[in-house]
Amino acid sequence: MQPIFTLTLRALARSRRLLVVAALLAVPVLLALVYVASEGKSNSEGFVIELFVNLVLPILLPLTALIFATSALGGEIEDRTLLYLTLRPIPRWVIIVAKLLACALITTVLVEVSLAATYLVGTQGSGTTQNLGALLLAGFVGCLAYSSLFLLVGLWLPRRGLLVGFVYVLLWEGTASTLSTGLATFSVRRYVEGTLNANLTTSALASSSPVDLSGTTSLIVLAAVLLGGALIATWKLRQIELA
Amino acid sequence: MSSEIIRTPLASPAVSSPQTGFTGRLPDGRAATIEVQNVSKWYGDKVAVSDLSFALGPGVTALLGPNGAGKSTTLKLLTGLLRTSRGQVRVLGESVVNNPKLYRRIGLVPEQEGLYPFLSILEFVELAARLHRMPNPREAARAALRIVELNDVEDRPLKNCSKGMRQRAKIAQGLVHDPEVLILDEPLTGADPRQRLAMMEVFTRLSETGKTILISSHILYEVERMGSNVLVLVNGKLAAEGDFHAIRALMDDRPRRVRVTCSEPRTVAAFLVTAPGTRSIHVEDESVIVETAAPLEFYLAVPQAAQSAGAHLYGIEGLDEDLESVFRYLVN
Repeated sequence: MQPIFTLTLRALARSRRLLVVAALLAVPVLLALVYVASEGKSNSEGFVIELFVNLVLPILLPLTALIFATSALGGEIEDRTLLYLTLRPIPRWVIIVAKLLACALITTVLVEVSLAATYLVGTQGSGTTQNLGALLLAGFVGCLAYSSLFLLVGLWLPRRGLLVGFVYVLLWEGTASTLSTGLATFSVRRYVEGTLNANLTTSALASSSPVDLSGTTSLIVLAAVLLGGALIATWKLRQIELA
Repeated sequence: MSSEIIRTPLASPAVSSPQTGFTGRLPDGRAATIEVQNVSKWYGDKVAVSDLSFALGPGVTALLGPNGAGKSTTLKLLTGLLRTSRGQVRVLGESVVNNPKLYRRIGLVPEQEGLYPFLSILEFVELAARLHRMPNPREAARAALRIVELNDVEDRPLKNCSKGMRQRAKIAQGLVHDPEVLILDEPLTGADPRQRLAMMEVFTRLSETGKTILISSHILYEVERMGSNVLVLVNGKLAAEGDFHAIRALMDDRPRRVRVTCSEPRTVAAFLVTAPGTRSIHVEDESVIVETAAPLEFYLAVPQAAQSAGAHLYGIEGLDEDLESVFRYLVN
C-alpha cells in the first residue's frame, strides 16, 4: 500500500493544483483578518464559526477534496497510467485505500491548517480549545467523507468528474441542502454540521446552523459515506476496463 | 483471399489452434501458457476482435496485423485489462479476470506512452518491483535497467527522457519481476537501430530460458529476427497462425517471384518465357525476375533454359519467401 500512497501524494502535491487549493483556502484566513481589523475582537469567534458553516464547509472543503480526489484515480485513467498499478499482484481494495488515504491526507492537512489559521487569526487568541477542536474534528471527518465520495466520482467519470463534482458542490451542497431539512438529509454537509454542533460550546452554538442530529448519528452517517465510497470504488475498479 | 484461417499446427511447436475446451497442452504435449478460446470483443456494434482461438507455448510469437486489426485489444484481453464479450482466456492455466495473483507471473509492456513524469527511471521500475513485493526492489530494478541498458541514466526523470528511453523503461518494468509470460505491445517503437537489435536479443534470450514472449509489431524484419512463429490478425480475425515459412508454403495459389542470376540474362529470359507457370518476366542487370504460378516445375526448368541459352547459371532465389511477403499477401 505504501508505494501507491507515496506515489499518489507525489502526484497530487505537484503542479498548480496545490497552489490553486492553497489560494482558495487562504480566503477564510484573509476574511478573518479583515473582520478583526474592521470589527475588533467582538464576536470574532462567532464570525469564524459562521465562516466555517457558510463558506468552508459548503464550498471550500468539498472543492479541495474534489480537486485532489477526482484526479487521484481519474487522472491515472486519463493519463493511462493506472495499468501500472492494476497489473500487479495486489488486491484492488489496496489501491483504493492507498489512493483514499493519500487524497484524504493532503486535503485534511490543507483544510485543517486553513481552519486553525482562520480561528487563531479571527479570535486573536480569545477562542476556546473546545471550539477549535470542534472545528478541526468537523473539518477532519468532512475531508474523509468528501474524499471518499469524490474518489468514486473520479473513478466513475474520469473525464467529467471534476465538472460533475463542481456542479454538485455548488448546487447541492452549497445551495439545495440549505433550502430544506429533507434535501439536507442527502448532503454530506448536514452531517459535518451535526458533528460540529455536537462539540461546540453553548455560546458558540448560536453562530452555527441548527441541526437536529446527534454527534453520534452524524459520525455514523459520515463513516458510512467513507466506507460506502471506498467499497463501491473497489467494486468499480474490479469492473473497469482500461482500453 | 478466402476467409479461412491458414494454420500450420505441425510446423511450429509454439503456436497451435486449440481443439475443444482448454486442454492446457500444445499438440506436442508441452504445456500451453496462453490459451484463447472463441474470444470476441465488441464495443456497441463495433467488433474489435472476432472469434479468436489459439494457444501458445514458450518461445517468441509475433502478433502481426495492420493498424486497427485488433492487436492491442487482443493483448489487453490476454492481460485482463479488457474483458471478453464472449469466449475465454487462460494464462498459465488460470483465468486472467480479477485474478491479481496471476500478475506475479505475467509482465506487460503497454503501447500507450503515459508514464509518471515526476518519477525517475529507477523510481518507476522500482515502483513495479515494490508492487510485485520483490525482496530487494531497488536491486531488482537496477538489474532490469541493466538489461535494457538504462542503468547509466537511472536517475533521469521520465519527463526528460527520449521516447526510446521511455520505451525501454516500460520494458524494464515489465520484466523486473522475471515473469514467465511477457506480453509486449509495439515494444521497439522509438528505439534506435542499435537498441532495437539489443532488445531483440534480450527477447530471444528470454525465450530461450523457457519464457513465453508475445510481441505485437508491424516491423516485420524485426519479428523475423526473433523467431518464425506468428499470429496474423486482419480486421479483428485470425488470418493465419504458425510458422510463417510454412504459412507461405501453404499459399500455393499465389504466384511467387524468383530471381535467376546468370550470364546472358536476356537469352535465358527468352527460354524461360515458355517455362511452366510463368506469368511475367523481366531482366534486371545480371538476373531475370520471373513470376511463376508453379514454382516447383519452374525451378526444374531453369537449368534446362540456361543450358539451351548457353549461359552460366549462378543462382536461383525466391524473392517473397520472407515474412513481409506473407504478411502483405494475408492482409490484402
